[in-house]
Amino acid sequence: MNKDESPLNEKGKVILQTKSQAEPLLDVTTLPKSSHTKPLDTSVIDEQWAEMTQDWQSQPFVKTDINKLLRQTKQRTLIAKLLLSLDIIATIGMLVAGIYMWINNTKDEATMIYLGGGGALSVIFVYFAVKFRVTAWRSNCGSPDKAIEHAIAGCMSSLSYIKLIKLFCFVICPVSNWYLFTASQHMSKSPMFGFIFLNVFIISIWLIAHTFYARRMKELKFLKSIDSK
Amino acid sequence: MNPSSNNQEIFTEWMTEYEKLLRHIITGFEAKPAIQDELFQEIALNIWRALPSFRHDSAVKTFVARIAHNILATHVSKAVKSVKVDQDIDALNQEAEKDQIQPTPYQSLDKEQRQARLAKSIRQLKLDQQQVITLALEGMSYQEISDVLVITTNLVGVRLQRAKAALIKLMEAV
Repeated sequence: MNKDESPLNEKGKVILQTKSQAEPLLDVTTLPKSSHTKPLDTSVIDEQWAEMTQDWQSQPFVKTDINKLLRQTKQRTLIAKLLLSLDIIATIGMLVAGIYMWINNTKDEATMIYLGGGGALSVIFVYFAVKFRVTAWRSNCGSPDKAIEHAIAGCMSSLSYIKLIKLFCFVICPVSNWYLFTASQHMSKSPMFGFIFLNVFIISIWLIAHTFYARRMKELKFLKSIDSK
Repeated sequence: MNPSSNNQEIFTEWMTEYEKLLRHIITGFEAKPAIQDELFQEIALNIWRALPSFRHDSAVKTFVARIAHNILATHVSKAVKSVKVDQDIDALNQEAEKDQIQPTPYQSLDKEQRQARLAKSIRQLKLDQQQVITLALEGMSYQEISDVLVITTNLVGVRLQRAKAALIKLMEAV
């Protein structure tokens, strides 16, 4: 054989264009250096592979009730759609009520501001909720080879959403307290219980969001570590 | 026939035909039966959602397997805690197995033990190796695997060779 035609010289002829093309060559350059590691005989691999394939394909599995699965699947889809619809209806309702009060020159300015402001914030929430669901949905039809990249993108999107909730708590806290204070001036009962309940509720939301934030951050760190390998 | 009832028929047909494939693939990524069931339902839900967008530009098997692999890859990459717990359980199982059976070649084990050992070893592989090996074990061609994973057939070949070698080493080590 001509020296130039030797397979040993093939590597020198290849022009690397993509990461995927580079991978087979990287394997050659990163062959195990340890003398303890023996390469496996390909005939052994082939022999065992045939047996493994047979074993794998004959694995027993519990048969699913497909009709029940269909019912459950439809139910879950319906619930997801219903929740999103409720979010949208509530947002529109708040905005419409706020605008209606404003047009009619209502005297209850506190409620009007509360509904209008709440509606505007809710629009942002609905936007992020839809965006988050669409991102997750698209990633499930894409390349599984990019699953980690998708998971990172999903995780970051989720983190933005949680940050928004935490920020919302800071915005809504003074607004709600002001609204409660204004509304309580027309009442004879002490608003103390209302204030305690409201603030405990907002703090709880913030703490729950923070717990999820910490969990997602841990997840993101892990995903980035496996993505860089 | 309205599109909804047509979709229901297609869904039932697909799930009946590919249930075995899906169950097997899931076994290669998750050990706990309860989580396996959750994953199966999650895959079914995503197939249901994707069904209207299926344009027959790929085989149904490829389409179903791609959705399954997306869900499973996301599950594996997110299951930080689960993996840790699995490893603990695996370590305990290994101890128990060592007490009961001596290390033996793969061929000398009975079928059930071989299947359990095979699934367990696959779960210890790297994600990209798990992906190619579970599809190859289902008898898919390089072209089909490349369609499912959206990678080149050359890369399928490279990954599969590495995965096979790694799997056999793991099987011997367990």
